[in-house]
Order: sequence, then C-alpha cells, then structure tokens
Amino acid sequence: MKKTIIVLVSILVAVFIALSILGAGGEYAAERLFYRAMKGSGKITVNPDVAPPAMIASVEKTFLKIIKKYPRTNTAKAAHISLAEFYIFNKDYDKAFKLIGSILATKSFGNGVLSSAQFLKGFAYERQGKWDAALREYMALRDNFTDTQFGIQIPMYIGKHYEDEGKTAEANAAYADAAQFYANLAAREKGKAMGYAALNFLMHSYMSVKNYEQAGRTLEEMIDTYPLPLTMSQQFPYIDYIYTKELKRPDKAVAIYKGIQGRVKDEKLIKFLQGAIDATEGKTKK
Amino acid sequence: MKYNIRKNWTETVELMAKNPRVLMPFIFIAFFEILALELIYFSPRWPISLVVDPIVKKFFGEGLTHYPAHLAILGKLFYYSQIFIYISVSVFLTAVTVQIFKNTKAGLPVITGAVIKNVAKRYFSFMAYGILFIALMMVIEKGSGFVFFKATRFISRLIPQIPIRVFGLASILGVFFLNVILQAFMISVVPLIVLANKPLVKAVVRSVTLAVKNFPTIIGLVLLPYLVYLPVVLLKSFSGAIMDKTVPESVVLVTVLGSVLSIFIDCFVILVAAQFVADKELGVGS
Repeated sequence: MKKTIIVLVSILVAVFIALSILGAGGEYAAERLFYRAMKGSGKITVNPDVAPPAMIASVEKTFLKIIKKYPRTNTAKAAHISLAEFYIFNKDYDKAFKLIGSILATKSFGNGVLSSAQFLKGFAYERQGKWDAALREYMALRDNFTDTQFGIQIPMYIGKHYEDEGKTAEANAAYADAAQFYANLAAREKGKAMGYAALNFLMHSYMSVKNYEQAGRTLEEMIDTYPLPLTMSQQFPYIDYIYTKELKRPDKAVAIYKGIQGRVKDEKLIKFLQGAIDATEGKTKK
Repeated sequence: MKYNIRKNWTETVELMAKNPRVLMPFIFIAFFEILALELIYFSPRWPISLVVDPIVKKFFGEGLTHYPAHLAILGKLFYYSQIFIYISVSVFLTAVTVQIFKNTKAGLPVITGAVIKNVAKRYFSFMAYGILFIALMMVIEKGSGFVFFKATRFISRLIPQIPIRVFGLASILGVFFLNVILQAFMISVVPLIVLANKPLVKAVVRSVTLAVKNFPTIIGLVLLPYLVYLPVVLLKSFSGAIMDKTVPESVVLVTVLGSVLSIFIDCFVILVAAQFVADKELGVGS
C-alpha cells in the first residue's frame, strides 16, 4: 500500500514539475509578476506620501523586471503603462516623462498602448498644474489617436476639466469644439462603429451644455443610422431623459418608442418598449 | 431496539486502522481529483493552453484565461471534473471499498484483482447511480438557490438591518445540510448493491426506505463526519476573499486539502453505511 501511495504521489509531483517547466516563462509568468506589482501599486497610490520607500522601490523593480524579462509579452506593454502611472501618482515626473517618451518612440506597441502613453503625458503635466502643456498633449492625442478609446473621449474630458474648475465660458467653448469634432467624425465614419461612438459623444456634448433639442436630434439620427438592438438598449434611457424629463415632450418619446417597436423583432425588447410606452402615456394622462 | 451509533463508529475506525487498504480506493479517487486539479491549474500555460484556452474563451470569456482570473473559475472547473470522476470512477471505487469490507467481515482474503473483477460486473449500475446522485444534487442546488433567493428577498424586506453576508452564509450552510440529508437517503445504495446483491432500482428504493425508517440514526451516523468537512466547504465558498487577502494560489491549496480530507471522511462514511446495512439487512456485525 505504501508503495502504491509513493507511486501515486510521485506521479502527481512529476506532472507538477513537468508542467511547471513546460509552462515556465511567457505571458503567464509575466501576468503573475504584474498582479503582484499592481497589488503593491494599488496600496501605494491610495496614499503615496506615507508609503515606505522600500515598498515603492519593490513595486518599481517588479514592473521593470517584467519589462526586461518578458519584453515581447502583452503584459510587458501593460507594465510600461502601469509603471508610468505609478511614477505619476508618486510624483516622480522625470522618470514618468522618460518612460512615456520611450513608449511613444516604440511604434510597434500599437495605437492602444501609444494612445494611453500620450494621455499619460498630458495627465503628468495636468498633475503638475501645467494645464496649457497638458492641453497640447491632449490635442495631439485627439488628432493622432482618434480611433482609440482615449482619443475619442479626450474632447469630452477637456470640457469636463473646465466644468469641474467652474470655468463655464471655457467649458462651453470646449464642448462646442468637441461637438464640431464629433460631428465631423460621425460624418466621416458613418455606418461604422466609430461613427456610432462619435454620434454618442456628440449627443453627450450637447447634453453637457444643456442643448437638449440638438441632443434629441442626434439621438434620433443615431437610432435611424444604427438600428441595432444594442443601440436601442444603450440609448433607451436617453429617450426618456431628453424628451420626457428635459424637453417635456412625452408624445415624442412615445413616437420614438413606437418607431423602434416597428423595427425590432426581439420579443423581449418589444415588450419592454410597450412597458415604457404605457408608463410614459400613463404619466401624461395624470 | 435502538441502534448503537457509537459502536458502529468504533468498529469502523478499528476496521480502518487494522485494514488501511480500505482507504486505497479513496486514495485513487483523490489521486484522480488532484491530477485533474493540476491540469486545470496549468491550463492557461503551454502546452495545455493549446487545448483548454479556446474552450474557456468560448464558455467563460477571454479574461478568464489569464492570471489570476483563471483561478477564480478553478473551483467551478474542478467541480465539473469531480462530477466526471464521480460518475466514471468514484462510485465504482466506493463499491470496491464496500467489497473489501465484505471480504474482511467474512474473513475472506482481499485479492485486489478479484475484488475489482467482482465489482466491475456491475460497473454500469454504479455509473447509473452516479448520474442519478449528481442529478439529485443539482436539483437540490438549483431548487435551494431559488428558495434562498426568494427567502432572502422576503426576509430582507421585513428586517432590512440583516447584512447580506448573513444570507450568503445561510445559503451555503443550507445547501451543505441539504446535501447531507440527500446523502442520508442515498448512502446505503452502494452497500446494498454490493452486500445484499440488490439491483440498482431496488437498492435505491431500499436505501430511501431505510433512511425514512431510521432517519435520526442515519443522520446521526453521517452528519458528524461530514461536519469535519464543513470548514473546507466554507473556505471554498469564500475563496474569492481569501485569494484577495492572501495569494491567489491559496484556492489551489484549499482544494487539495478538501480532496485529501475526503479520502478519510468519504471512506469512513461509506464504511459506516456498509456496517449499518450489514446490521440491518444481513443481521451481521454489530
């Protein structure tokens, strides 16, 4: 019996060692280190001023180890960005700019990573209180990386910055610029995912300056141009918000709901829309 | 006459101490389970990832092929592998243990090949029982999940001060005790097939009848051993929090601990049930 147990345990140990050796290195090993570094980084960035220097050094070392040891992995790309963020939150701007510069110089990283780095460059200036320099970087992000998540969102981010600072005139101007940018983009990318995203941001930029008439027109354009169930479910709350709550035109909201009902085949969505129609008409009767 | 639970337990412990080979089938079950766990643990890494990654991506999403997210579904994947092992191997090996018990009680020699050959004749009955048991367990899990959900909603409306964590714990304990009750009804099936040569359907009916007639005794026999397993059930249920507070790999250790512990608990419970069946049906033993 002992012999059998020894054989079974040996098999388990052998399989473990074999799989450990075969699977060593590569993406998984980098991901493990990245997890460790991110956990440490998360603790430090909560309150960087009281973080022990040894802890900060350890996290930095782990990020650098990933970058050096596993340079070809996707995790290494993420480690570059996370390390830049880490430097910014720890106010180590020289290191942050140096790293961001090296990321931006490596075109092979792809637009996703490059746009993140471009945003962080602006963000590092913003954290230093240098808004003009930040704005230049954000504009570069908008123009050079339009087709990325950061690139398409940055015009709204700029408007929000002024809004948060209480600079209404600047905020309105920034949202007007954003609306122009999104309108051009929506026309250029009509029928594509990017065109839909642009219309969505266009609606939000109008809503930010309380131009609900224009927001409503954009919403209808979005539903007409992209008549997909996903569009309907994503934009549904805005129909009620814009037409019923802000413009006080529930009849228009009902007309849009009915229009969608006539287009879709999904029984659940049709039923859901009927509920919305009944609720809106009920409110009107009251 | 009142059944002597303590005598049953004492004789079972003595049997396990004098004939540790009764544990052997359960050591094999644990071996298969830990081997499956190793394969699941290494599944995001080469070479297993070549086969497993597309499957995980299809059913769980891309994110769960990476560290540490894949450890979050380790429990679920291990549960599926346990079901497969239970139906194909575990019930059969449990029957082997009961056959060893039978030979030992009858003073017959325990020849491994002969014991396996004898039990293998009814392999498909054991497999069918495995499927039946898993189906019942799933019904209980789904049914109790629904009942607990409704009960939670009802009670939290009445007493909103009760923290949601309490309901989570109550649900885990509820499922655990329902499983113990299911075990109490079904625990005699394999001993009845092996010891009393009953066909599967008659064995199931008789097992249920025995449990109905001797419910406090059977619950008394199986509850205490299963309570030893309760901490592992709780650790598994809170594995997400444990992973977060310690290291993500802790979930693997807890799972291995569960498999090793079940060697002794499951073996003890089935021998206790075999002893009970022998006493009640065959009029031998204690």
